[in-house]
Amino acid sequence: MRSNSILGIIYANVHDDLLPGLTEKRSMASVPFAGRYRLIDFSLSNLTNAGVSQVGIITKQNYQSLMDHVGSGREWDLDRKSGGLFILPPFVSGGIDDGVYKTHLYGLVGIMNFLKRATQEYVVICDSDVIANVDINEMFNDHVENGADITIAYKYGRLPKNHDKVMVLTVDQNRNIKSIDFLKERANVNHSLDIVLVRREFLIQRINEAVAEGKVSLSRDILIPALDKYKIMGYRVEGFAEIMDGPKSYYDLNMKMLDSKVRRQLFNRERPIYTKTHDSMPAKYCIGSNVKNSLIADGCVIEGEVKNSILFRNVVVKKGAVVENAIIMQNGVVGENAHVSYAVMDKVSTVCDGAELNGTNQKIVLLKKEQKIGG
Amino acid sequence: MSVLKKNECVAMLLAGGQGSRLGVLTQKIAKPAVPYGGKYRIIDFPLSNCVNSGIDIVGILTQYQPLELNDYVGSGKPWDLDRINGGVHILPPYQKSKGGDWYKGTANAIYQNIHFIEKYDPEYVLVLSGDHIYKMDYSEMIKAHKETGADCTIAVMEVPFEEAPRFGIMNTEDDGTIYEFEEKPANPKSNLASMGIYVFTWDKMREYLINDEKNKASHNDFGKDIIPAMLNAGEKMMAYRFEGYWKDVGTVESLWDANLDLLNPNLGLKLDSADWKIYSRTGWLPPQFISETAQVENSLVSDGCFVAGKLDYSVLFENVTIEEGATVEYSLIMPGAVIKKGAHVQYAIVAENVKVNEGAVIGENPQAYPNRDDWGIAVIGDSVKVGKKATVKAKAMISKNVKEGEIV
Repeated sequence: MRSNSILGIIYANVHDDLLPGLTEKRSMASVPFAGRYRLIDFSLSNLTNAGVSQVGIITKQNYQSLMDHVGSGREWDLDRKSGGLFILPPFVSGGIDDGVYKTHLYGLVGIMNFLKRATQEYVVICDSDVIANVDINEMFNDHVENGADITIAYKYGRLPKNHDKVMVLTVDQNRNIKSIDFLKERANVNHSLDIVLVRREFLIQRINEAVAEGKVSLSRDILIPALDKYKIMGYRVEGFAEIMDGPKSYYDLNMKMLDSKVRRQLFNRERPIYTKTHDSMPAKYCIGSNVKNSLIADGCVIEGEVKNSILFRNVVVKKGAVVENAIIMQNGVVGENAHVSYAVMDKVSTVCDGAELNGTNQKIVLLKKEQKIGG
Repeated sequence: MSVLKKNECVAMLLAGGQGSRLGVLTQKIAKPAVPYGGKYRIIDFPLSNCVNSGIDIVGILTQYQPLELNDYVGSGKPWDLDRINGGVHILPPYQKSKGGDWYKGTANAIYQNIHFIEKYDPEYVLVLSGDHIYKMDYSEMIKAHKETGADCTIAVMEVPFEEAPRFGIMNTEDDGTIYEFEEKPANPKSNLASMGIYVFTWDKMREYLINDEKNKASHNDFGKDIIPAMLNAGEKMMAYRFEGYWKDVGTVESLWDANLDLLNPNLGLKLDSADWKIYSRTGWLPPQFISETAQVENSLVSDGCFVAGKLDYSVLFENVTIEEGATVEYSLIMPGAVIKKGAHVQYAIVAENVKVNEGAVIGENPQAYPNRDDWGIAVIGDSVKVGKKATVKAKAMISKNVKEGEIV
């Protein structure tokens, strides 16, 4: 494969409403995950690991933290003279969507010039709420060998909870997609991971046709009607691949990172997940610290007890503090003798000395960004 | 911090030495590339100090085993030294129209790169080495150099008198004027040790480098030739006192010490403080995982590590694995090393990608030695495999695989 033959497109704001507390000041793409990542790191790394050298990120709102995170794209090797990383903010075109796109289709309409000016033969479109390490190179080879017009990555598993928007695929033994449906009830099915590979010209034509007919949906108005006319294939993803679908799933998916098998699937040496790097010291475990079954990032200073938890960069757990079944984002502080359990602490939040932040397995509590309790 | 003018000072970092006292640790890499503190290399200190001091033109003089160092420095981006004007430059010896030479000594290395310095036409040249762990604001030293009108200013720090015979000692007047330099004096007159950090007024330095090169008897070395020559000629030489943490990491024991100093709460060494960060090139590794069976205390652990065993008073570099039932104490475990089940590592430096197999015992407690001189840190070199139940004694320096059950 010529490394520059695929253009990458990522939607930064997908289903932001599903994580209301965490996306108040950020896009879905920049939601922190697994101790040092942001959700977009997965799709960005999937693309660059397949040699994709030009990626456009379609943004809608709250994208400051995203821009801060991706910067020039250097960490993903996307700081290129030719191609590289493009942030594509809303563009008022005077169409039906007043610039701020409401559907995936209109997200693409808004970047039509970017799509047209690109020179790559193919396009891969991804959402930023999918946590998976997908071999897009293999998906591409599969697409070309089978002479497919469209290839959609999918997995077999339980449908995400809050998603009646996830495409459920009926796939025959040759992996041809026979139908695309939306189910109301949750079930074990083949469902889309919202990674779609098509020829660029083909995509532009389908978009133009759909828009001319006043259509609005990528899945209902382009993919489903195409089933009759074109060859649409499925590319099955094995191993860990999940879609973020709400606060509980945010908590649960993070906690799955404590499973060594999951970590090996997601963070393998052949296809690393890249992220912005920082200059924190290694984590420091002080005398008397007690840490079990936890994922700990650089820069943490731990004097207390940490169990079944995920600590992002520079988290401080002071003497006598107990942290259990919790997720503490960057620069969080747990004061002396404080107690945190079944909780998510957003960035730079503090539980003061002796204070408590306790949820339950059924009801995870969230301490919002820069907030403080106790003291 | 004082503010330097553009191109006012060029830093020349001497990174060509082998660091032979580090033994197997510098067999394949130059000393400045030796890992330190979990995620750093020694060279991160002078480079970060330069950029934090506002010096953004840095020449790195390489000669011995430069490949890993070249890779590590790269474009200088992690230190913010990939600049349109200046930035970081690797300067190996090169072929000239009338033949070429290896760098004969520290002064000759700079002499051979006079054109590099002239390109920027600086007023001052800062000479640094890549063997110390310290945070220092060079701009303050340059300011002192300007204020005293010195031709050369040498950074010094007080050392205990009994240790002074190990250092180059500066004998000074009350105002800091250096009147004598003694290399490793048996009976030191002063306890001001040279830190190997020099600021020269460039015109003066250039003159002495050219004259030194003409002298066939010279070692072409700063300490042995240039500094004494300048003193003899009556040039104005000033000592600049530095206070704070500074450690030479030229020997196995001092490297081990300097790493474990990071765990000493009294020293409070913080390498990521907002006002003076030490930068490094880091990889793309997931956070460290501490398992249910782990016991970790008083240690530094880096990205990508997996710890299921017992860890006390140690520094784990990136991607290290400590399996369940293994014990690591008072040791440095460098990137990619694996300590298998039931192995016991103590008072040791385990280099990159070493594999210590099940039940092996590395290093010994100094208390087992009535005569402290018989004891030493055990060092396992790059990529060595230590067989099951093998024993590596104190002070051993291992560069070849150790067989199962073998005692070395």
